[in-house]
Amino acid sequence: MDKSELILKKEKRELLASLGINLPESEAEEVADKLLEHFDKIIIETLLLNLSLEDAEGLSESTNSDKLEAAVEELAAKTPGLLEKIETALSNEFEVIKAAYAK
Amino acid sequence: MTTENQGPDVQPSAAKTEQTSPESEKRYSDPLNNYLREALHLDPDEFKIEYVGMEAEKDAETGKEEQYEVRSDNYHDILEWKNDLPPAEQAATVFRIESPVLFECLNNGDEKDEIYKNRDRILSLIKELSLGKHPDLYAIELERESATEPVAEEAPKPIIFKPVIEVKKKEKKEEAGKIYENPSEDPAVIALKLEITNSVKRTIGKINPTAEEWNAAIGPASRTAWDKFVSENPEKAAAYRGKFGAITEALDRAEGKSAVPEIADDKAKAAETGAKPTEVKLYENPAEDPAIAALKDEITKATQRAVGNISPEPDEWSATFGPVSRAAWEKFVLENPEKADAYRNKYGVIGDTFARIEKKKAEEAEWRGADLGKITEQAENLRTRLEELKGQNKWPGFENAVRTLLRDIEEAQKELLSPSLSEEEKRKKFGTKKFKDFIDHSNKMVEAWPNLHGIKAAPHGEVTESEAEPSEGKELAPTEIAEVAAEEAEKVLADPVAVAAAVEAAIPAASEEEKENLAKELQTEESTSRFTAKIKKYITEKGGWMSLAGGVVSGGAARMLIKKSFRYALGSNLAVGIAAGAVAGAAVGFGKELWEEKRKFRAGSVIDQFDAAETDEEKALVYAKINDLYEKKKISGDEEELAVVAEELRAAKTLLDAKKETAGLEGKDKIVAILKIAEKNAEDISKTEKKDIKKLIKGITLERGPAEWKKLGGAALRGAVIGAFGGAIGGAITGFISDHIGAESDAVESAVKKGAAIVAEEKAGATAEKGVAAVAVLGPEANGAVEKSFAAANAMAKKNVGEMLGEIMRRDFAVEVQQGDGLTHVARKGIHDLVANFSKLGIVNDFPPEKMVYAEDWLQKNLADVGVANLRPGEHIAIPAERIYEALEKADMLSDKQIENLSGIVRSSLSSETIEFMKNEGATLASGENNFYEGAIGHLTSDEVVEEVKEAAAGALREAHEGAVSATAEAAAEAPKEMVVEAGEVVAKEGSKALGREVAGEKTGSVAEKIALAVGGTVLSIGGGIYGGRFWGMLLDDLAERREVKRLKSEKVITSDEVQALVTKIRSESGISLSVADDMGITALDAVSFEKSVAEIKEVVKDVRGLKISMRGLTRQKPRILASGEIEVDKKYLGDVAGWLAGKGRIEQISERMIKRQEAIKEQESFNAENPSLPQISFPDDMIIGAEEIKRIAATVKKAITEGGFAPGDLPNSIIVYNHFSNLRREHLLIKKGASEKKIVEFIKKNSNKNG
Repeated sequence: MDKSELILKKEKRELLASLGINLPESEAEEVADKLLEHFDKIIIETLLLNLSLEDAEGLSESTNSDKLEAAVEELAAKTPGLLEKIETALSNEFEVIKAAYAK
Repeated sequence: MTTENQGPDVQPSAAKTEQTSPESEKRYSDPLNNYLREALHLDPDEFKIEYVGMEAEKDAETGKEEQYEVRSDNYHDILEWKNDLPPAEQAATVFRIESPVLFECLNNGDEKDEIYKNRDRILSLIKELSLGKHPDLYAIELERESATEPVAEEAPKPIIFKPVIEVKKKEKKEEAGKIYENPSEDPAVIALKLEITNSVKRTIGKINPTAEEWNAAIGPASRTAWDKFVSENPEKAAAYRGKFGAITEALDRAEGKSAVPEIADDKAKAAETGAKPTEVKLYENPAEDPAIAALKDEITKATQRAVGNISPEPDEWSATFGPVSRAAWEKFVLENPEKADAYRNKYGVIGDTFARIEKKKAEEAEWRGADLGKITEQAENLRTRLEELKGQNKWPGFENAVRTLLRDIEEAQKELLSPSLSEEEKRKKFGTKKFKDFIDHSNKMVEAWPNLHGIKAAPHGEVTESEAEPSEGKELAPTEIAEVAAEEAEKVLADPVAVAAAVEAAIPAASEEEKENLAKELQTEESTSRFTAKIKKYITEKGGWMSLAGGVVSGGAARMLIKKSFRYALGSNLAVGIAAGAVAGAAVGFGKELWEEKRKFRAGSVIDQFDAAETDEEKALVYAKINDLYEKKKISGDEEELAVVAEELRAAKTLLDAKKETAGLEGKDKIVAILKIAEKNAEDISKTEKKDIKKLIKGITLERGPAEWKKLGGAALRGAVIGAFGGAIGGAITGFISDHIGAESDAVESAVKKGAAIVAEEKAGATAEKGVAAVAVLGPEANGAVEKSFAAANAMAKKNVGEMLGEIMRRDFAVEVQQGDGLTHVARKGIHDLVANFSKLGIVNDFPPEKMVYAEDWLQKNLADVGVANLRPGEHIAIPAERIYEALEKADMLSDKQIENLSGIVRSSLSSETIEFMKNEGATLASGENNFYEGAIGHLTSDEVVEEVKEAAAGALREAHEGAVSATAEAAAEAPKEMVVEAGEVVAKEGSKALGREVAGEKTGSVAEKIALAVGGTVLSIGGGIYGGRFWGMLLDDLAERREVKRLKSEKVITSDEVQALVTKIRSESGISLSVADDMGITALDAVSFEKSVAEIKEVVKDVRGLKISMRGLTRQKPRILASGEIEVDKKYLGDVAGWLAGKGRIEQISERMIKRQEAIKEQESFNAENPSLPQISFPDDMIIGAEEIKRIAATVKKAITEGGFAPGDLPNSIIVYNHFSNLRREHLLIKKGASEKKIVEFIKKNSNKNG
């Protein structure tokens, strides 16, 4: 399963397994949530880095409104090649965390 | 919005507290000083800002032109100086701004430095100032003070702020009215002459143009300049009459001719004189009709008068020429119906004019018959429907689209209902097809509006709630999704608005008629069937995101997702449809390859480096190197590179910190600590230098909580999936459309004809008038030749990579057994060499080491099958390529789990060198015997490709030539070369684009295709017409020698501000004049990558300066077209200017030279035949001189011999003779006017003798 698929589907156990993390049930849920938060931020950052200044301005104006989520979704849909860039960013971050944990 | 983005905060400050001198006030009001003081609270005096301009002056004694620097410490004075320059110089004048302190802060300041923090704004301001585009705050302030001065009080004596920067200038002003005995000594006359001379140099590329060149390019504008002088200086003009030719002529013109062209009107003249109208004489060749010739001449003159300056921009020229030309020809056709009818099929312009008149009549009939009441009602219905839709959708794109349409229709309604407009005026405006289409399309949009983000209305084709729910509960396989997509695709093609959007995205530059035709073609049953099949194939075969989408959603939700993405991509909203769909799809398809090539970074590479580093010190060194690179990238302005390096740095730092800080931790504690480290590093190591983006990232990732991250991360990922769908569909439909404009279709023919028409427009003028006639004669043949060339090149490019693979797969790979080699080593070498061959063909090895290890293992176990068993050192073993390939295929089938299992083996047992060898980085063959790729490439691309294309195109050209023979000698000799070559270039560009899409679509990109592309595209650029045929062999040889197409690593488009920053940096470091950089450097810099070092870019700027001069010489009156347009087009080749010259410029150069040579030979032959008793003249083959110069030289030689001498003025001002004999091509001897007779005679005799 792709990294982004794991995140979108919130597959927590598979997420931990793919990082080589083996935790007791009591801790797994909490750690997986933290990982998902981290990866969500990576996704958001990747989108924002790929926005034009005009789109960024538009989004800034929506940051304090209830339209933010819809605006993010629309901008993401309009950004060419974004999914691939997100996949790459997530994949890299997976590898780093996995390697850091394995040391 | 941040303060930085709110525009210039540099208004004149009223905070002056003390009275100062005008000079200090000027400095005080200087916009840059003002900004530093008011916005940044800095002391401007510390920066010692100076403005520098350049002025050309002719030395009174030597007559030489020299450049003077003009300096000022304030913007007002430098602007005043600029405003005093002649208009032609004003436009070309750019200031340089000097301030070592300021630029040091801008370039090397730190984050906390106010200057550095605001450098975008400052650089933008500097740019405005250097171009003289920023308002003069000092002048504004003066005006304001003057306006607010109490009327009753006596106004203080106004201060006259004369520029004090150039004493000479003041003197000249005081003497402005002085009448000189010799007009040639009058500074005003000298200045105008200088201006015209400079324009001549700029426009024609030399200071001694032939009479024809002068007339074509400069003459009319020069006359306009002298006319202006006469009208502005009547006293002087009267005094100089008879003493100064140009002024005398201008006075004659002023007294004898009107500014508006008088087009011959026999009938009117006949009516005035009472004479009978003359009998209409019809000519077999309309070009020979004096009335046609006179009209052409008048149009040319009128255009040049209307343009009014010496070197008009092409757009200006074209815009001015077009209407004048069309109106004049329409008048001609209407007033000479008999002649026009007789010529309509023989003379292109008249045929076109007829068509235009008929179209106008048809349109007029249409609007005259329009039902105004019905139109008004339709407009009202549409407005009501839009009003209903307003506010029903949360999605901003929808609301914007509704508002835009509503605004348009309300504006139309105002006029429709306005009592001040007559019925006829209303019919004329709203009874047109254009308005009808607007209403029809808008209605369709409204009906078909997608059900996005909860719109309450029930438009046509909406997705119901039940469909949107995941009711079926099962995941869809990609093939099932493809079926649903195909159903939607069918609906899309049935929707005229969606098709129009897709066509618009695919062929934006085509005419409306072409777009309509293509749209109709796309909507036929056959097209629909092909399209749905293509969509299915596309979706089934496309990678990553497809499985994601298939896995994420199920049943009805998948259906909903697909429909949404279709509507995003190609739905009824043009704005979103184009942005998110077709364009994005095409962009993704095109950009993907580049992206993948450039973005090699994978976290694994940093991890590998850390693994390879044995000690902590070595690891720290790895980190330090990346950190150093990161710091450099931060100031490079290359955001993409910065993001990549930042990611590497984050990875390295996280690994380093984690090792230190998580020692002794396990399980949850350890992973939580690692996440904290990663988060901190993400915060500290920014992937961007754009302040707004940084702020946005910080605002969302730091100042919000997990719930928001989850929501927004999910939204971004959902959007990305939808975008990927849209992109894929967009890519499919644009690919599909591009198929429809392939070589065989009518659209190509239209493109060719359009290209010729564009050229005809651009070439308006004396030469082009002849060209129009020639192309009218040669058109069909030339088009046919170009088309056939295109078809041949296209066919070659389509030879797919399979043929090359077949060539390699038939081979056996040789492996020499070394001492100590086992079967695994043998297998590894065999695999390495096969993959290296693939790599050379452009097939990239993206197998991870795990797969390579598996392939080796499989192969070594199966070597016995091909007769390999016992190994002896020195023995040569042959392994069939097919067997090696089989091993790779087996390896490719490994599951993720299997790869995971192999990962440990790879890391523990293989050295980094071995892994490198396996990955084939550099693709060096282990055995030279295994070089099969060259044969495969040669098989398809070298001689065969060139020969096939050559043969096909040469055949076509022969046909063109045969067709051309019947054309008039004058037309064939004078006109078609430029016209046809340029028409060919238009097609070549289209052809390259089409081929590029093919390559991208098939994801091959092999060397062979690139070569075929290059050869095909370039061949086409000279592929049409008689002149192309004449030089065919020579050019083909030239092309065959250079088969590699050089590309820059990055084709990133950089903003003008970024360019300005770089230009400023270059200038401050190298002293290159800013005006040079601005004049041409920006265009060039726009094309180069920021990856290049400043030093390299400096070289490019210098070269471009030289290039510009060369281009002027080569292209005569269209330097700007080549300088901006061509460089823009060819920017990807501009990484190496010499290479670029070897491309387009080389072709132009060769053609130009050969044309001149042909003309020169004729003159030589003529001279020699007429003067058999004199020494026979023969010039070196590559002497670059034209027929006029040959004539003058020949006459001079004759005079020197028969009369015993000649005057220096008998020779052209300059003759550039390549040193043919010493074979030092770049050395030349310049004989200047005024050189001694002896020296010139010696030179000519010497060369004549040497040449035998």
